[in-house]
Amino acid sequence: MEGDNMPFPISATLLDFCVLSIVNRHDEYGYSITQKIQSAIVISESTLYPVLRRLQSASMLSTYDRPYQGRNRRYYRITEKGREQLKLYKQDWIEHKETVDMIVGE
Amino acid sequence: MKRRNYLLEFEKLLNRAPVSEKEDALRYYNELFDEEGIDIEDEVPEKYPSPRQAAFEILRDIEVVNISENNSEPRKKGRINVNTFAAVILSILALPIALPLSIALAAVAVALLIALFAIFAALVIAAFAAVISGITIITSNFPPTTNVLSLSLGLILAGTGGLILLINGAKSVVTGINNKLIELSERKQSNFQSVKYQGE
Repeated sequence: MEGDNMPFPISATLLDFCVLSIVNRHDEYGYSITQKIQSAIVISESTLYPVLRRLQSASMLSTYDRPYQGRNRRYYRITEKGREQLKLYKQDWIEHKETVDMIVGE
Repeated sequence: MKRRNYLLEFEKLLNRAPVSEKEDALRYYNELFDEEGIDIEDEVPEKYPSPRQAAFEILRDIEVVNISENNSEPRKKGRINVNTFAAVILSILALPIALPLSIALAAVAVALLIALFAIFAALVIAAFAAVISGITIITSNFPPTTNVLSLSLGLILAGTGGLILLINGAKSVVTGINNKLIELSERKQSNFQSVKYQGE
């Protein structure tokens, strides 16, 4: 199961937030995004595709193919709409973190 | 499972999805396997979920998006409204027939019950009348054989009537207890089943 090493559940929103943050730095291909998320959160290999698909159909990500070693890599790029959503997520995240910190304390 | 078979099964499971969705998903997984250096004839590592699980996650997502995009729910609601409307109209139309019909049926049932009671009452009264007349006849001038015959006939009738009543009463008590027992055992069974489902 997901989150074996994480006591807190990973929501779809949090995954959207992570993917948008990663792609916001620079364009990435699918495998690289999976690797980056997996370095922090335990997710299954099949979890990321639906997330990318969802963000694409919401026009928050666009794609383009670039040749690599005789095949194509599909790169994901953040759109203007994605950037706006990322801003909202960041605000929400800070609020959420502060609220939890307030309850949990130092 | 080999990459070839993994993707074949994955593709088959995604046949329900639109072609463009299926091709996109296959493309993604092919790229992922290429990045991992898994060849067509190589085994897919254990860390990958089954093709069924991977396909399910995609299909579930497509369904959720379709529902929110097509607004298929309000259309369904409209159909239900038409159906309930028709049901209300039909029941109003049926009311003038159904109401008198049910009253008539109830009246017939009551009449039958009264008739049944009257038959029983008549039998009991006749039996007592025979007993009483037998006793009175004994003291009168008729030949003794007739007196005794009349009295014994009355007693036989009364006894039979009492016996029938007793048997019927005993029967209803037995069936009543039986029904109660069946009810109890069924309730226990359903309790047991609900506990089992919770356990699962």
